[in-house]
Amino acid sequence: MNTSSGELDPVIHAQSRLRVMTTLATLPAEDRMSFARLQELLDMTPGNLITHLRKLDEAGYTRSEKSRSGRPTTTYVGLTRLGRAAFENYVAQLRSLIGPATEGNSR
Amino acid sequence: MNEDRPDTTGETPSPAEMLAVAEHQQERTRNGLDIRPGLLFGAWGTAWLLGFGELFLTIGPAGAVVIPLWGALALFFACLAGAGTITAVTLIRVSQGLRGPSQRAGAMYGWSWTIAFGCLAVLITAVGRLGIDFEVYALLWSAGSGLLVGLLFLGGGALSNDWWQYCVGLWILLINAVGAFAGIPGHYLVMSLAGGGGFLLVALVLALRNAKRERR
Repeated sequence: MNTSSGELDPVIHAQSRLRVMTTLATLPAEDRMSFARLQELLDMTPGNLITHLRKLDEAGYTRSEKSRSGRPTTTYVGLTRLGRAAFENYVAQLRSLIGPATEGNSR
Repeated sequence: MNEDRPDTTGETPSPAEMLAVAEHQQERTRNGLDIRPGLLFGAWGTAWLLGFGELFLTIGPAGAVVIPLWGALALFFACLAGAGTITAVTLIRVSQGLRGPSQRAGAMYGWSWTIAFGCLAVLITAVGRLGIDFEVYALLWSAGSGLLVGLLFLGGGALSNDWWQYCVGLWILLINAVGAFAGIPGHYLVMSLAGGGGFLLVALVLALRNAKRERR
């Protein structure tokens, strides 16, 4: 969580989990996405996504909840406050590692 | 546990590569969650242009085209139903699998359209009981609807900080109120050209802006 250490967050620093975090961070705060929709936006196999979500859940970055309504229970996933902060911090670290020279490209 | 294997084949990606991964995924998610307002403005603009245009041509003593009133109204509502279907399909597709405060806000906003038009129908029925002629009745419907559409856009734009939506609301409110002086069927012409045309203009601007962004 601390930018000063220079160490990139190992929980997020893996392409698949970065993509999961990015997708969820695009939602407004406190909004959640169903497992199926997340899978569709990520093009991941269910097994793969479950594995990554477990790791993110364990880190406290995401929260997966089964909905009580609906016969085939749907899991909804959202970022926690900690997760959103960690994601923003991670992206800020990436940008600072790349350096100010390329920052203009993202605009 | 080798769950990280798919990510770390070969060397560890550089920060620039990881940033590109994040940006690409963000773009993809935004695309998937985009309700494409340009498309919706286009659909409603076309519906108003054709629907109100058709009412102008067929209703009133000087109607250029003679068809029964029920036929004219059926055509008008068919135009609205077409745009309504496009809107519903788009919103359902985009909001599929989403939950939370934004979805609740969207549902409340959606219902406010239904509730507003339901109440307008009740109100006009009540006024109709006082004995009003066809022209007054028709103007109450078209100008009353215009007022609701304008206000709902104005409110929606204000709360979502969407300048385009706010301006569309403002425009509809203005042309609707001023256009009411044209009476029936003149008001239909105003709603067709200025209202439907206004929607289409916004649709065009949004489409051009989108195309410009995609070309980058």
